[in-house]
Amino acid sequence: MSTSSSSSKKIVLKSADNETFEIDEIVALESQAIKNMIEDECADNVIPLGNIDSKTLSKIIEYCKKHAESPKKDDNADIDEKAVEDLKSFDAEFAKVDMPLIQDILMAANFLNIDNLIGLMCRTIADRIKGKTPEEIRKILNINKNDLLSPEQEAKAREENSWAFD
Amino acid sequence: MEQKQVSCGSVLPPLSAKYTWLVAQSLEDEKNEIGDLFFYTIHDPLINYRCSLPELLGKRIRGYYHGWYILSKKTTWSLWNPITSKFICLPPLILKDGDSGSIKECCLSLPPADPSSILLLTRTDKATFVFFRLAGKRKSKTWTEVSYAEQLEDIIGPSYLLHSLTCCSGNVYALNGYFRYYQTIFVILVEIVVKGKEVVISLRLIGECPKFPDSCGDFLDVRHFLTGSGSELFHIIVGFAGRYDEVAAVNLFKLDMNRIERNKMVIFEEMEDLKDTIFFVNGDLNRSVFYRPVISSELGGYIHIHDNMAGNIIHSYHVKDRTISLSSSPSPVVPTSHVLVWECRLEDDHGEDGCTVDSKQTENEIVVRGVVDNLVKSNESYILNLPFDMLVMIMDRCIGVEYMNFRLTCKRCHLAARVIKWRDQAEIKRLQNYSLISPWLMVVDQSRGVITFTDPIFGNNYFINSRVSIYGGSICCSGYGWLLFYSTDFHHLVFFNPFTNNLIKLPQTNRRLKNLCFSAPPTSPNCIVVGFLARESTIRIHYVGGEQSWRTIRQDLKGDSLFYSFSFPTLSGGDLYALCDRRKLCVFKKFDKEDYSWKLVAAETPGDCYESSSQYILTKCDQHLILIIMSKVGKSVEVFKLNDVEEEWEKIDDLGRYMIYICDAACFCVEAKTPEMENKIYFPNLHSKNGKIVFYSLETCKYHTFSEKRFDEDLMDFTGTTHHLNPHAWIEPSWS
Repeated sequence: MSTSSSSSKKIVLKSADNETFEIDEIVALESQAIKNMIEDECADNVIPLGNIDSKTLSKIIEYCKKHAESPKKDDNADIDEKAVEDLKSFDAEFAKVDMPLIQDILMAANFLNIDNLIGLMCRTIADRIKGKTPEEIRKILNINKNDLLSPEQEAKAREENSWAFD
Repeated sequence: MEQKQVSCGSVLPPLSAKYTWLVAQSLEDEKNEIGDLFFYTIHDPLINYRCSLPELLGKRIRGYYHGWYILSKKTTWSLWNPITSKFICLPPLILKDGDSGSIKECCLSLPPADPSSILLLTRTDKATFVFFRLAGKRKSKTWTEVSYAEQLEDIIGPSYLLHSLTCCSGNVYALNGYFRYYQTIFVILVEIVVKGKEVVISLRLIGECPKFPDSCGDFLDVRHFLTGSGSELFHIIVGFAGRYDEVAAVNLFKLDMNRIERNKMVIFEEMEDLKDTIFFVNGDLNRSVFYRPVISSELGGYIHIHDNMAGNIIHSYHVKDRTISLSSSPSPVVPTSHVLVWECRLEDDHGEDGCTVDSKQTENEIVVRGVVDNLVKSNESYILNLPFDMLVMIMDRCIGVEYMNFRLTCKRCHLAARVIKWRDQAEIKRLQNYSLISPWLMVVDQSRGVITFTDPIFGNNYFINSRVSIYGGSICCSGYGWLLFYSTDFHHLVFFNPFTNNLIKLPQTNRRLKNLCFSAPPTSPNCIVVGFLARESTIRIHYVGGEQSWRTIRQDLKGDSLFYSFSFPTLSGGDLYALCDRRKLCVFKKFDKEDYSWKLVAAETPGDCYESSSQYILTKCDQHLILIIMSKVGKSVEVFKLNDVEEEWEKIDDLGRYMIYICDAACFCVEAKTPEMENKIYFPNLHSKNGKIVFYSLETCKYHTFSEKRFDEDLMDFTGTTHHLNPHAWIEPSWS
């Protein structure tokens, strides 16, 4: 990654609802997908993101900004512990959003290929279903009742589960 | 729960054939010459019938054989068949040396129509049979009394009187009484030979009754019951535990009389499943046992024990599952009066009675429906539409129970998540830092080689195949994911982690230690194991990381030591605390150092006024010592905290963020991980209806179970709950 590249270079992202976001290129490079586009020089000034709405996109930019500012682990061996802690608490705060938005961010992060953010969102979902019954998990994830296992399938899955520690 | 009583006047009630019915009589009534009969069933405690039959006025039911009730009123004895309404009156029984009250048990050898039929009575104070032959003209005949003392001594040696008379294959059988409960009990055939006008009664030894294994522990009392059905003779042993008057062990044996050969000792065969049959054992004034098939199979498999030892509570032992369910006796008679309970078999079904509709039940149903409706509505708006590979990523971050619950939520999650065998080496690594929301209740079924874990929140059960053999059927201590018990295989104390199958043997203790505790997981070099010798103040200490030996510390208790026994050892800040004589707190300061000292801390135990059957439990909560006092069947639960300065117990009404887990093997207090778990005491009891773990809420002062995280099923005490007789303990699973 080129850390010496000009911080003044701007990239414009356009959301599905036609809102534009101008960001520093270094922030945009947090996304592996955008990075590839820039490197392949197939990115014009404006990158249209037709499947990400502005609300989700602004959250993602917030995340990328913070992470782009933070010193990278592999850059510096004696990295400031405070910075690590700071980033951790930022992530914790960042994840305090409702489940639909978490899922939107996760989908967008997947599209934009932002590994850390994918990891954060998956972990957040996993944490939220800790200590919950399948019924409660269905509520949290808004799973449609048509997607439920049939009683026979569920009974079989429960049977498998009940021996899973064996 | 309101009982509904249906008065039937002077006719017999229409009893549903679905249930097993009991008939009860109050002894107080006998004096008042009321003689009402109460018909009830333990399967439906909400209804009972009362009737007053002129034939039975003032008469006491003494037995039930071949469809006939045997009745007595002072010196008058009679037989009554409720189906045919036939009544047989016998001439007055005048005993030469006693009153009518000295008759203990009775037995009708054959149906009255049989020419050999005799009514056989035993006495409370003498080794004699009193009998009457029913055939022929009764008025001209008299009662006969013969001694069996010599015969009995000849065949089995000195013994108390015979009891538990029962009929089987046309013969009468009995058990001998005993001086001490470990004395051998024999089945004795009471052979009745009728030749012309002569009746000869002789005793013959059939075989030895089985006993509880020695390792079963101490019982306050052990009772033996015998009953016959068809050609089979059943022997039931019930062991009552020390101070709580609880049924602590039940064994059931069978003998097929068709397959025994004369002059050959017989061996009873243990029964491990009752399937669609039940026993009802009544250990009160009149011992009575009966054996019946049940019509609905979910009611089968139980031995229902009603005994004055256990108060007004029926202990229902499930033979296959080895569990005991407590239920309050639905006896419609005033609870304080002595009740005689007999089997009731009226002629078939008189049709389902219409009185069983219970308004409470209907209300419950409506509540349940309400819950379901809510769920359906909230599902309409949004669909989990993550790509499949992302689902897999989320699942990868779920471990153990969360993973398994996630699998159950929908078809896609189920597809995204393969079945993980968590015991595989690769997966165990993932579990290293995994912790559960709550400890699980672990039950070891040694005969089937399966350990079951029950999750108190979800009510889920998990199973592990495990051939673990626990000597004496009890786990000494549990903590940090490890169990401490005497292994039958190794004759040693061992530590065992059921999740990793790790087993650590401890050095031999020449005498069995009781009341053990340990300070850390045995994989830690700091782990200390501490135990007491039974009924002694000697402490034995083993350092798991140190030498393979036990250190012995004899406490000089100033000559009082013989009177002390120690329970609930609790390590706190280098000192060892324990309950002394069951309820007084004492401390062994610096117990493993040279300059140890011993003293009573809180000599004043709260509730010295409590009934003696109360249970005292000691534990530690966030550096404070906690005392829990629980009265019989959990009717009251009180929690006290030690004031370290004043050295006094102070009652507390709130545990804050903490929760307490209680079982025989351990009592521990941990911080709750979710708000709904806190301020509660969890017991190793399951709700008899929904099968979930029962907890006591300090907020509501009642017992509940979790249901979708809300409280469910209020209970006032442990009646309505089921507990395990198999070895069990709370365990916080650990894979490290």
